[in-house]
Amino acid sequence: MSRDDAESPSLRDQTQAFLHEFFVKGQELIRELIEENERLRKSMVPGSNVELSPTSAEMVGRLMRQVEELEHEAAEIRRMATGVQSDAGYRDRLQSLEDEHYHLAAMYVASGQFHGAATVDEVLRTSTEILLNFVGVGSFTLFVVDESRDVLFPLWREGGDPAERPELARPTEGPVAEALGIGRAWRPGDPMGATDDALMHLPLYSGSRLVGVIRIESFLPQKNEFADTDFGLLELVSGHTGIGIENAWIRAHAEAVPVERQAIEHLVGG
Amino acid sequence: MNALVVEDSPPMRKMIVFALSRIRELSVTEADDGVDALRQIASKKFDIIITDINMPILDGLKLVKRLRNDEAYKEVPIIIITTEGAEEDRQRALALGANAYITKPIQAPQVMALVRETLGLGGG
Repeated sequence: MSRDDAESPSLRDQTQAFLHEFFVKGQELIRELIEENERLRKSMVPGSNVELSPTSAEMVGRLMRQVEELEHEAAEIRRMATGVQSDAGYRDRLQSLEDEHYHLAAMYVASGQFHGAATVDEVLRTSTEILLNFVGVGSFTLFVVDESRDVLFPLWREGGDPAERPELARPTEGPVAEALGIGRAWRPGDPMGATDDALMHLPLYSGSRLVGVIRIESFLPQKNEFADTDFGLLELVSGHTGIGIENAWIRAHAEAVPVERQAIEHLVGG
Repeated sequence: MNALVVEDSPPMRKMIVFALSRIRELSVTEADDGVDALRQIASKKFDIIITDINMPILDGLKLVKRLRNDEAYKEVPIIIITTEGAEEDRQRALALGANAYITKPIQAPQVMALVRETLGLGGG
């Protein structure tokens, strides 16, 4: 609940209290008018030209002034209530912009980290830091596809030893197969691949090549569910971790060749 | 006012610096670990220090202890960054003289509010 939400009942209470007081005073006013009317009727002589006594005229004047004061007070309360509501709307909007700003900054920082990761270790560290510190994941296992044997093997685990996790045959049906079978990096709205022992199976793709999967097993204690802003980060992890692992693999097996103008120009537009 | 952010995780450090850079009164300096922090402290006076606990070489607990033994930093506010499960570290840091703590995953508004409150800066 936001601070503004917390203040709304207070404003309602104030408005209700004011209206209650307004109507009580109104009742008193009507009662006084009726009493005054009765008194005047009794003092009237049939057929004569009875005028209000100075006391009665004063009473009417005083009551009229009370009515004016109450109307003025009501208008002031209405104006204040409108002001508070528009101020609350402004603060909501400001908070929403702050959240969006923070989210974009997190995406920017995470992207920069992935682009700077040249080894598998660096890719794993970056993925771990983003999942733990930005998303609030408590434990996960990262499996990589062994393409020769067509299995997923545990390479990294946060919250335990990866060796404790068995290899997995590539699933062909069920929620995990559905999550892994999308053919590209995960996007918000894609299958989550939730199972009894996992909140999500996040596929790791490099283009259309399935590189691995992160099985998200738990949140940090203070987190219960994914927030809207988490999905953008999960999308980023899905694509960048896959590309990062593949790049690191290629780099580890590449032959060191000096950069030459003709050779690199040949690659442009190719 | 000068703030020092001590955090070995580059993404975390960048996000904390991002949050603090929203506070106009603050000029923010970064340090990779406790040793780097001591190096920064030797050349500049800071008004607040935000430090992670788990860091290589010189961790946050040792840094807090060193700072509280330094006459110039006896009263300077120190905010520690911990994980939810690290209750023991948190208690030790507070016992050593840290003023407050932030729990990961951090949120920019939370960091900003705590630093503002600790430094007695007005809202917004």
